[in-house]
Amino acid sequence: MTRLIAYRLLQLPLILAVIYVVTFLLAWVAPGSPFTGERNIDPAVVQLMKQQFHADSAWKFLGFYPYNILIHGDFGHSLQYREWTVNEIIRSALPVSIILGTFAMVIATIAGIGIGVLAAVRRGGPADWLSLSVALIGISVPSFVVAALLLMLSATGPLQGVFAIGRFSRPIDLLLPGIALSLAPMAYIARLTRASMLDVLGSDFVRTARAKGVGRPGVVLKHCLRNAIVPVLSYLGPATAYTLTGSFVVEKVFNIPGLGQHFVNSVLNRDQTLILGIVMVYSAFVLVLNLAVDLLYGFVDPRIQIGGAK
Amino acid sequence: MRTVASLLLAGLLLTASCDRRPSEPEKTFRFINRGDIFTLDLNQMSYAQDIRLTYAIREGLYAPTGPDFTPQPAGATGCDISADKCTYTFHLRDNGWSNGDPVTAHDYVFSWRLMLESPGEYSSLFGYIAGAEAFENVIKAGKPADFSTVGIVAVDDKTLRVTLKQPVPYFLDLTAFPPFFPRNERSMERFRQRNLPRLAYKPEYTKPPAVVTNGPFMLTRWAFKRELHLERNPHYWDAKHVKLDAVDMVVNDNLLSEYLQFKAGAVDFVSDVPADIAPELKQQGLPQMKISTSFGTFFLTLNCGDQLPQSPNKKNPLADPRVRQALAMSIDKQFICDNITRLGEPVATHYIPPGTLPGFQSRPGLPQDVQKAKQLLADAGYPNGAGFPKLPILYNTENTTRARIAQVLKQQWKQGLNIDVEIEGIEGKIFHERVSSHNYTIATVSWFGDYPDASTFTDKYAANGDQNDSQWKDPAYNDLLAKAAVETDVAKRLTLLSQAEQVLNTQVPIIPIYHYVNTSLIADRVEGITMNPRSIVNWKDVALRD
Repeated sequence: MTRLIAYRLLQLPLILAVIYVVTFLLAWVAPGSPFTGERNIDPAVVQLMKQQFHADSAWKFLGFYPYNILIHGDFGHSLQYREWTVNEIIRSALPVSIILGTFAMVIATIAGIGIGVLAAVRRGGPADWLSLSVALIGISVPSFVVAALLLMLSATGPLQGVFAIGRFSRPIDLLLPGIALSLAPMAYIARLTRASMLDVLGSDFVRTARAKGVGRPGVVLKHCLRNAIVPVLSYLGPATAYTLTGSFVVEKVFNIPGLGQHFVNSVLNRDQTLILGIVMVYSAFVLVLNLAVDLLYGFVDPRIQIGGAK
Repeated sequence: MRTVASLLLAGLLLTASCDRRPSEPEKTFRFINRGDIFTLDLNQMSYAQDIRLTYAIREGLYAPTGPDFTPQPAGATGCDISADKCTYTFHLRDNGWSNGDPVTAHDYVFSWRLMLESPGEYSSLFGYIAGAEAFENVIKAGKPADFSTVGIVAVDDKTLRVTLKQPVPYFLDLTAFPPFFPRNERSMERFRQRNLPRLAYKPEYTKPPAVVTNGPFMLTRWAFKRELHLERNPHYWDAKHVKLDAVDMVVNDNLLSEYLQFKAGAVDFVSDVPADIAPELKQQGLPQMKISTSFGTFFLTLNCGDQLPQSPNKKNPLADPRVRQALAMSIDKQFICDNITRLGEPVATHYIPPGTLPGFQSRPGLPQDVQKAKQLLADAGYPNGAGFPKLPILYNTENTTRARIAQVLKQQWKQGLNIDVEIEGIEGKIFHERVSSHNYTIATVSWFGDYPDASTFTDKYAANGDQNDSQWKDPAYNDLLAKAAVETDVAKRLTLLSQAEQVLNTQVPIIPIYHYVNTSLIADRVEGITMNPRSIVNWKDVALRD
C-alpha cells in the first residue's frame, strides 16, 4: 500500500509536466490572442503590451512560467483580465467550485444510493418504478433546463426571497445549483447501486445470513450494500472530477463565480496563462481523486488487494 | 445517514440566517453593467462597461454634462483657446484625489505621458497633440524618447497647456473621454515596472485599496467576477451634489437571471438588455424598459482587395463597386429589423446614426431596388449571377443575432441576384483576427462612435487607418477627410464630412443594415438616468427616490 502511494505520488509531477507542455502547445498554437479586442491595434503597440506581460515570445513564455510556478507557485497575470493574477482568480473561484461540487456529490451519493437500494429491495414494485423514473429523468434532462427551472422557481414561487438571485453571497445560495448539478450523477449512482444490489441480493452469503437469523435491514445495509458499493466507488472518482470541472452551465445560469466559468471563458479569451493555471489545478484534482478512489477500494472490499499487498 | 443529512440541513439553515455581507448604506444604487469589467487601467480600456464605470470614479478636464451631454468644465474651471485653435490652456479647479492629495496639472501630464509610453487601443487619439506621434514612434522602436518635445506642459500646479498639431474641433470632447483622465503618480509608484525601458505600471494600481481616483465615487471593493463597490469620494470638488451614498456594480452575465434580479428589485438598473431577451420585454410593454437611439451601426464589411483572400489567384468580384452596390441594393433591411432584431431599429442606408450629432446631416444612401441591383450585377459581368463565385459571409458565433442575419442575407441574395454565398461562423477571437488582417470576403460587423464628432466614424475608412478592414482606398474620400481636418469653420467642416460619408455610402466598402438602439431597464425609483446615444451615465445626477 505504502509503495503504491509513493509510486503514484512520484508519477504525479511527471504527468503534470506532460499536461503542462501539451496545454501550453495547444494554447499557443490556437489562433486568436488575448491582446486583441474590439478595435484593431497597431502591431507595434500589441508587441509593447505583450512585453509588459512576458508574452512577447513563445520561448520566453514556455521558460518563464514553469520557473515561476515551481519556485514561487505563481502562474503569472491573466492575459485578458490583466489586473488579476491567475493565482488570485483560482484562489477566489476554486473554493466556490469545490463547495458546489462536493455539495452536489454528497446529494448525488446519498440520494442515489438510497434510491438504488430501495429499488433493488422492492424490485418490480411501485418504489422500483418510481425510483427508476426519477433516475431516467435525471439522466435525460440536461442540467441547464433543471437549473433554469429552479432559478425561475426561486424568483417567482413561494421560495421568492429565500435565495439570492444571480449572485452568490452565502453558502445557502449553493443549494439550488447543487441540486441541479447533482441530478445526473445521482441518477447514474441510483442505477449502478440497483444493478449491483440485485446481483448481491441473489448471492449465497445473503441467503446464509438470512438463514442465520440476521434481520432484513441488517443484511441489506451491512452485508449487501458494502459489496454492492464497489462499482459506485469507481464511478465516484471521475464523477467528482467531472462535477468540479463540468459545472460551467450551472455556474452560468446561477451566475456563480466558480472555476468552471473561468475555464471556458479563458479558452474563449485565449487567456493562455489562465488556461494553463486552471488545467494544472484540475489535472492535479483528477489525479488525486483517482488515487483516493483506488485506495478506498481496499477499505470497502478487503478482497481487493491494492498494489499487490498481502 | 440520517445524521449526515440533518447536519447538512442544519448547516445550511444556519448559514442562511447569517448573511455575512457588510452592512451597506441606505442609498446604494445597484446595477448590472453591459458585462464584467475587463480592465480599469486607462491605457488598456476600450469596452463600454469599463468606460461607464470609469465615469463614476474618475473625471477629466471636461465632462459630458447636461441633457445633450456636451463637454462642460469639470476638473478644469475652463480653458483659453488660442486664435489658431491649436493651443489650449486649462485652468484646474481645486479638487482632491480620494486619498486627499490635490489634483494638479502634473497628474495630467503624467497620465498622458503614460498613455504614450505604454500605448493601448486609444493612444492613437493623442496623435492630435504636437510631437506625440513622433514620441510614440520612438517608444515603439524601443528607444528612450524625449518627452519635452510633446505639446503637453504643466505651466504650474493649476495650469495645463496643450499644443495641437492642427485644430481639433472636438478636443474638449476628447478631454472628457477616459483615456484623457489624470492619474495619481504617487499612489502608483509601487506598481512601476522598472525592468522596462519606458514608463509602465502593473495594472493592479486600479484595484482597492491601492487605487486613487478623482471622480464622484471611489472604488472600495472589487471581487473578481462578483461585484464592485463604490462609495462617495469625500474629497471630490462637487461632493455636495452627489446624491447616492454608494454604487454596487453586480456582475451577472446570464440574461435570465439578469432580468429576474431586476424584476425582484435586487438591482435598479440594467444598462444593456441582452438582445436575446429585449424584443420580448419590448413586446410585453414593460414600462421600465427604455429604448433610445444609439451611437452605433450594424453593417457588412466587404473586402475590396483585388484578389479573393483565400484564393490569391482569383479575381475578387467585390473589387468592382457595381457588385458591391448590387449586393447592397438587393437586401430587404426592413425584414431583418422586423423579424430578427425586433427592437424598432432604424433601417440604415448610410453609415452614421441619424440624429446623434448636432448639426451633422447624412445624405440618404442606396435604397433597396432589386431590379437596379440585377442590372448592376449584369453590367459587372455576372448576368443573373452567372459565373459569380461562392463567397463566404463570416460572422462571430458569440452573437446569435448575426448568425440569423447571415442566413437571411444568403436567402435574399439567392432570391434577388441568384448568387450563392456560404455562411461561416467562427469564434470571436478568430473573427476579429481574420477581419483585421483582411482574411475574409464579407463579414458582419459594427462600429460605435467614441466621441461626438462625425470623424469618429469617417476616420475608420481613411486609407491608412488602423481600423480600415475593407482594403478600400478612395482618393476622393481621403481628400475630403484631409480638407475637413484643417477646416476651422464648423459648418463647412461638417459638410465636408457629410460629403465623405456620401462617398462611402455610394462606393459601398460597407453595407449599412441598421442603426442600433440602446435598451436599458430602469427601476421606477431611479432618477437622473436619461437615455442617450452614447449611453453615458452622469453618476452625479443619479438618485434613488424614497
